[in-house]
Amino acid sequence: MDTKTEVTTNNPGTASLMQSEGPLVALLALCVVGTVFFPTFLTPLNLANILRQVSLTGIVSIGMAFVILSGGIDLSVGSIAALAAVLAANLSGEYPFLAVLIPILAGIGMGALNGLLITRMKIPPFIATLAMMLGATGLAFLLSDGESAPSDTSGWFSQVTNSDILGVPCIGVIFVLALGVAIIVAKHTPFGRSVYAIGGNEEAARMMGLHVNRDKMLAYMLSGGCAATAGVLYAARYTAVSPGDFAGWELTAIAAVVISGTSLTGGIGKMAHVLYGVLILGTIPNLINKQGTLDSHDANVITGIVLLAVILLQSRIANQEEHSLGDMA
Amino acid sequence: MAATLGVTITPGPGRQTGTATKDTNAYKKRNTFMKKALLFAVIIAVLVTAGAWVRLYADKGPVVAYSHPGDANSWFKAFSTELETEAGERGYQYRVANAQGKIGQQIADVENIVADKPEFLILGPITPDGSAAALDIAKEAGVPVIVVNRDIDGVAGEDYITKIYSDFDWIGEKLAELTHDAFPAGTKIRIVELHGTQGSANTIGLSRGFRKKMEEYNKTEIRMEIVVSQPGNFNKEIAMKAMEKILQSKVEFDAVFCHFDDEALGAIRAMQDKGIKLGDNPANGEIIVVGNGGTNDGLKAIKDGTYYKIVSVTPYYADAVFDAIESYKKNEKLPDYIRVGDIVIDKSNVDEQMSTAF
Repeated sequence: MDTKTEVTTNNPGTASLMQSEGPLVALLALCVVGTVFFPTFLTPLNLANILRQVSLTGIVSIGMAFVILSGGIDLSVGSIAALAAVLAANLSGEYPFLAVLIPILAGIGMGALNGLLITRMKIPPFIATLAMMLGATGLAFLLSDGESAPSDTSGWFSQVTNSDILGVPCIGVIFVLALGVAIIVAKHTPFGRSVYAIGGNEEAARMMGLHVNRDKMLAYMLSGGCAATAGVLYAARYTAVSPGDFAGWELTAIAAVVISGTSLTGGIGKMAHVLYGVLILGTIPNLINKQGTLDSHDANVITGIVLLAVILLQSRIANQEEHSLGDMA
Repeated sequence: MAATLGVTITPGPGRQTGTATKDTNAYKKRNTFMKKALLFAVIIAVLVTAGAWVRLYADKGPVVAYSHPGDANSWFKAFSTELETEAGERGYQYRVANAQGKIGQQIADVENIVADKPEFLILGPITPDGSAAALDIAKEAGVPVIVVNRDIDGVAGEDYITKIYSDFDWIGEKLAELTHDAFPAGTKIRIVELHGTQGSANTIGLSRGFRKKMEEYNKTEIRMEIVVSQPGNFNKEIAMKAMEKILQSKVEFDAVFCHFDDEALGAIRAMQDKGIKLGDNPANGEIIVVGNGGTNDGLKAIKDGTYYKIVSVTPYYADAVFDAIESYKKNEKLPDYIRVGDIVIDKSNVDEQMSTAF
């Protein structure tokens, strides 16, 4: 017994840091590569660009993290964002205030519908949100007539979205603030704790008297709301919105959450680490862009390989953690 | 490195006074950790060396960057390959980013590119309005832009230096002229149109040019008339299905006007399946097929005689792009739009044009 305890205390601090901060290590490694190869990587302008470029899918990832932590999945986020963006673009000219409000409410509503299908009709999340994905994409294309919808970006909301505070893009600030709120919600509210409990063991959570159905509904509503917010910000940022632009957002968000170390079976993961997952996914294309001679297929292959490496690192670290826990027992 | 490893392990034997299990466990754990740290250090060292080497040899002259809209077809493959070759020959370093057809991606690409201050940005817009935001980003960064491939919203000389691409209105007019001239004077020509993707600059230009020329002819006694117009989306399969439906509906026609070679090939296939004669002699009941393109398969069909005439949409204008860049550097006045010269390809010149097919 006493031998084992000593072994664990002997473990150097750096090793345990590696264990808990795997995504951070991967991100730092990418930054080292970037700094070494490209003189313009570690410049304020480039870092601001990366933050700006990840903030929209970052916001989507926050909602996705709650859903995945609860043991579910949400494939409809890209389509909800697309529909919200098209709605916002269509309303932006005449009703700038409604252009923000209505799409977000619609997103929350679609999330609620996802939640109802999953909790009341007992449809598996993958199927329910897949149906929503197809439906919302279709609706977005119908609303935009299959072409790109022009968006009026002269209003105050667009001005704020597109401005910088001391060189930091506002849109990035919105993402970081939203993440901050999400961290507090996940850690310090009954809802947050309930999401972890449901993802860990839904039956046990139910027996403990938690409102399993209500909180799962809330997670999907949150995800729909985040996706729609990202869609509205997209319409505020670009003068033309095409539903096709949002293809693959759900996969980016899921990848960001998985890279952050969140278990796809739910219950395990840190909301703060979503930041690392999101930044890793933003840094890879930035480096590929700087490299500048890869065609899109090469770039996709490299992104795939890097993601696989990060996820392998993740799972190895997680396994080690399990083993050392096993040793302790 | 080996020394460091030795030093750190030394505390291990120091604890050998303890139980055997404790010692081996601790030793193993530390050993694997050190191995990992060593591996990490080696990786970093290799990276630093590689980075230094790359930077040392990377300086291949001023950078020109191409923001590729992302259309995955043989035309764009030929265009970007030619651009890269031309850049190398003129002493420029070439850089490309592929937007995969997404506006958000193209804007991000341009943000990343202009942050590195290349000498020129060559922009292939996805849509005229959506891609216009890229012009603002480049202007703010002080990077001059040359627009290629398609039209964009903006002012020449202010938002960009110049635009260089094929004149689709002219191609449309030329195709109408070729159709008209294939028939003896006084004949009524009934035309089936298989058009491109709705809303794209090519589709709009080709339709407009063709109709404009038709109206000119219709002032005299000959009448050209478009009896059916269906989408073919620049795609062989879609065009083939569209033509099959047209044939089922028993609409009578004398000529087929396609917005792209692939559409023409699909239509030709559908007509051949029904035993319809294709060629260059309407007097024999042969259907005349004309289109815009210049692909390998398109030129082969010209040789076969099933495809009557092509007006090219050449991807080979990298020299014009770099001529414009060099004129700009010499402070020479450039026109707002530089038209890429396209030609008619038919049986008479198909062999010599084979090398330009894409």
